[in-house]
Formats: sequence, structure tokens, C-alpha cells
Amino acid sequence: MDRQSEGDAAPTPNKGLIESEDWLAVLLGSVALLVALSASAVNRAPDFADRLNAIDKGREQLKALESTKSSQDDDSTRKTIKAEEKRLQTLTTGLFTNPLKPVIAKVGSWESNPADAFFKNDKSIVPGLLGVFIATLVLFGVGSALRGERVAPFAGAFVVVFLLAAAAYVLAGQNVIKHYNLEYALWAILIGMVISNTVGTPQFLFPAIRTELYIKTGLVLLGAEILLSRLLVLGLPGIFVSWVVTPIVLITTYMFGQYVLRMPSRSLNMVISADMSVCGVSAAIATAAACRAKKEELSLAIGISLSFTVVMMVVMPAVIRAVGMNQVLAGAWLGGTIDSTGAVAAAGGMVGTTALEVAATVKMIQNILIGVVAFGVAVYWVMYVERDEKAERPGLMEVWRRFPRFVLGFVGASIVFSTIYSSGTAGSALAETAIGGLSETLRGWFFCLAFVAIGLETNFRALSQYLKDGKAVTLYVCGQSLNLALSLLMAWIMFEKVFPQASAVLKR
Amino acid sequence: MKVSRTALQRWGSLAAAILSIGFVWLVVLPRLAAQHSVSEYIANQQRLGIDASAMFYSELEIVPAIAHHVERLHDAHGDDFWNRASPDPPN
Repeated sequence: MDRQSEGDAAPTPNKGLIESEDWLAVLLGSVALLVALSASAVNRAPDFADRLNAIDKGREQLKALESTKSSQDDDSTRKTIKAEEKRLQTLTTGLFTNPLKPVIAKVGSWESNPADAFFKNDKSIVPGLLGVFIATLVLFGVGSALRGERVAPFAGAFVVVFLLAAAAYVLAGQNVIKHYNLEYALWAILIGMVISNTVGTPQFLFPAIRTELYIKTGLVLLGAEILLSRLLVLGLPGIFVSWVVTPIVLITTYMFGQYVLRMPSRSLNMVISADMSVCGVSAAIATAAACRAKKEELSLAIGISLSFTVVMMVVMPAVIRAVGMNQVLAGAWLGGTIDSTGAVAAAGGMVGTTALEVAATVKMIQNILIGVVAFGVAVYWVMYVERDEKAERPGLMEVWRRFPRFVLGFVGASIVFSTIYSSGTAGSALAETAIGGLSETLRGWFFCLAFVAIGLETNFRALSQYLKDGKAVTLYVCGQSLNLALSLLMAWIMFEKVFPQASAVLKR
Repeated sequence: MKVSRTALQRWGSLAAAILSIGFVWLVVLPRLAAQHSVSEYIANQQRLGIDASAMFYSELEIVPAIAHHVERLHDAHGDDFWNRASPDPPN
């Protein structure tokens, strides 16, 4: 995100221990991940060794059952496989428990009474919300102190910003909003903008408007969720649909924006190209941070992406059913094209179970690309976009000086958690418990706080100027059209022509 | 006087925005949720355990089970996912 317009880029009165906000984000994110990991690691199941043995034996049995092709046609064998998979899943998730999970919560869903959002399975989640509040306050309060800033004004302002973030989660939790993928990011920006464009953002809130810090710390946590070994789970067909089509669409859309539409802002062009081709809001956040896009540009890209996602998640399953497309091809097409992960699953679910499985898996593989894209965009920006026109290509030292350091934390977290995940049954269970039990929830809150902060600093007029020439929407529509065509073609070639046997395995 | 009128307008705008949000979320959306096609769609998503608002795959509770299932299929049929199908032998 742009440094000039960022409040936190202003010189601080006292120099703290950590001057760079990027390094601070890496530090805070690493602490949160370390806590999540160690809390899970020390809480092994009492029958840990027995469970591990049972899982390994069960896997061998499953492998034998699945390898016997003739038995796959037998209904009872299929039921046995399903039941065994469920049993193994229960055993695996029970290997570790994260004791912090009950005290770190997200706001729930509701239909007509917003108070329902504060209960899950008839139990109040208010203690969990208080836990999140305390955890985030302490984490970012320590961050403020390390930056040499006064903690008391930050803490006072943070209470209000946190409450606004909670309000955004409540709006996003309404069942219609939730199930049509209108994510919290949109409502957090809206709430912030309602305040900033009516009564104006009160001065006392500014110490807690730390968009960059919240986003970058959230991105370090997101890095832990990028488990690289899952890239190979669908073999070559999955790689071609997710990792070949996506970069082609991203680069082509960006070039189309630069040379045909002549987009006035390169960063807006890049953020829209990335969120449309990779995975929606999360890709927009990561690339916006990597290319220092303006806050209004990120807001606009998210708004466009979510608007089109709602349409695509309803229209695409209808088209698929109308033309009678097979479920594997349909799932691959949905997973490769719809921006948001939740919307992909929802659309896949409308088509069928196999489509849901393939769509979710293709999207998961595409999600992993986000780290590579963020890294690539950061390098490209430093080497080609931000360099002086007259100067020669910057040397390695200059690239390192300008490189956004938080990307290293993002990639580093991914490498560490991928290594743990790939180390065996216990490792994969540990990584999943740490992510699912704590870091994923915290990351959601960090992003929500960031979007509230963006809204509090966004002017309607500044945002509307980007929409005047219609280029942003045109870019999205053209890029998405290419994505739809190319993904369908690639999915058809890979799953129908080159690897029909993979398709047959997935259909069973 | 002018300043206070402006301030009043601003607070009025804020109140109007809050009321609009309240109306949409407390009246319009619950009515929409009660419509047959929408409630059926939501119930189906809930039955499948799908959180359509998930931003990243790790937020979907169904993903670990799907990922492990596909991983096992991949382990058992690795060749089918990596090696091109050989053409049917001529009759």
C-alpha cells in the first residue's frame, strides 16, 4: 500500500526499537504463529501413539481398497471407504487440541436477530470475542511500544476500531449476505466510510488506524495457511488448470490494462488483475501490499471482485446444469475462475458432490499461488515500476533496500508450516490444528481491522474518481472473460483428453 | 450558526446511513432469507458444511476432509494423475 498516504508512515516522535513497520509485522505475525503452534504442540491427545498407529494402519487399508479397481464398483466397498475416511479424519483432528481455540472466536451467523451472531451451538461466544480483543490489543499495543509510540492513545482508539470491526462481522454474518459471499471486507470498508464521510473520522481514532500494520501482520499469518505440498494433490491436471492458466491470465490482463486500456494506475491494474485471476480478496490484499497500491484502489478492486463473484456463483452452476457438463470438468472450471474460495465451494455444492470436491481442490491449489504472486509482484515493482526512468536497472543491494520485508515473513511462514505439514501424520495434524484453531481466526480479525481503517481514511470522491472512466470494470470483465475461456479449455484438455483416467478416479 | 448547521447535517447524514443499514439488515434481508428459493439454497449450503463467505481455503471446514480424500486418491492412483493415458490398443 502507498507509503505517502499512510498515517503510520509519518515520522514518530521517538524512535523505537523497530523502525521498519515491515519487520514489526514479521515479528508480531511470527509471535502469533509461534503461540498457535506451541499451544497446539503441547496439547497432544493422551492416546497420541495409539491414534498415530491406527491412522497409519487405516491409511494402508484405504490405499489397498482404493488401489483395487474392481472393488470400486461395489457399493459396500465405497461405503466402507467413506466410513474409514471419516474415522481417520476424526482420529487425525483429535491428535492435537489448541487450548486457545475457545478464547479466540469469530462472530457467528444470524438470520433475523443479530444477537444470534453472539451464540454458537447455544453457547455465548462473547468470552471468545473478549479473548480476541485482548490478544489483538496486547499484540499491536506491544507493536506501538516497539515503534516508540505512546500506548495509551493507541489502546483508547483501538477499542472503537475493534468494535467497528465486530459490527462489520455482524453485518457479514447475516445468512443471505454470508451465503452469497459478500465478505466482511466490504462491510468493514462501508462502516469506516460511513463515519469518515459523514461526521468525519475523529482525531482520537488515528493512533489505531494502522492499515499497513494490520494487513502485513495478517499476511504473515496467511503465509502459514499456504501449504505447498497441497500443490501436487491433483497431479498434472490440477497444476495446468491452476498454475498455468492463472499466471497467463494475470500477465495478459495486466498487459491489456497497460497497453490497450492505458490504465492511469499501474497498481490498480495489478491488484484487479491479481484478484480476478488468483483468489479474490486475499490476492488483492497480498498484491496491494506488495505493489504499495493506494487504499482506494484496494477497496475498489475488492468491490468489483465481490460484485462479479455473486453473479458468477449463481450463473455458472445454472449454465453447467443447462449444458449437462460433467462434474469433474465443471468443478475444475468453477475452481479456476470464481474469485473467492467460499463462492467456489458454494457454486460447486450447487452442481454436485464431485464438483464440490474438484472445485475446492483446484481453488486450494490456486490459493497457494498467492505467495508466488505476492513475491513476484514485489520484485517486479522494485525492479521495473519504482525505478528511476533514467537510471540503470537497480542492483541487488538496491532491490533489497526497497523490497517489502513483510513478504519474507509471508513466504517464510509458508515454508515453515509446509515443512511441518509434510513431515508426516503428526506434522500435518499439528499444522492444521495451529492454523484452524488460532491463526486463521486472528488473521481474519487483522484484515477486518485493516478494512475498517481503510474505510475511516477513504473519501467517497477519491473512490468515485476511479470509476469515472469505467476502465477498472472493463479490465475486470475482459480479464475474467479470458479466464473463463482459457480455464474451460485447459480443464477440458487436461481432464477429458490428456488425463481422462484422473477424471475417472475423481468421479468414483 | 453556519457551523452548527453543517455539524447537524453531518450527524443527520450519519443517522440516515445507520437507519438505512438497519432497515436493510433487519427488514429487507430477513424477508429475503425467508423466501423459499433463498432459504432452500442456504439450507443446502449449511447441510454441505459450506461457508460461502470464506476468503481462503483454510477457512472452509470441509477442506481438510476433501484434501485428505483427494490426497489418498492421489496416493492410490498416482500414475493416473501424472502419466498420460496410453491410447487404446488397436483391435
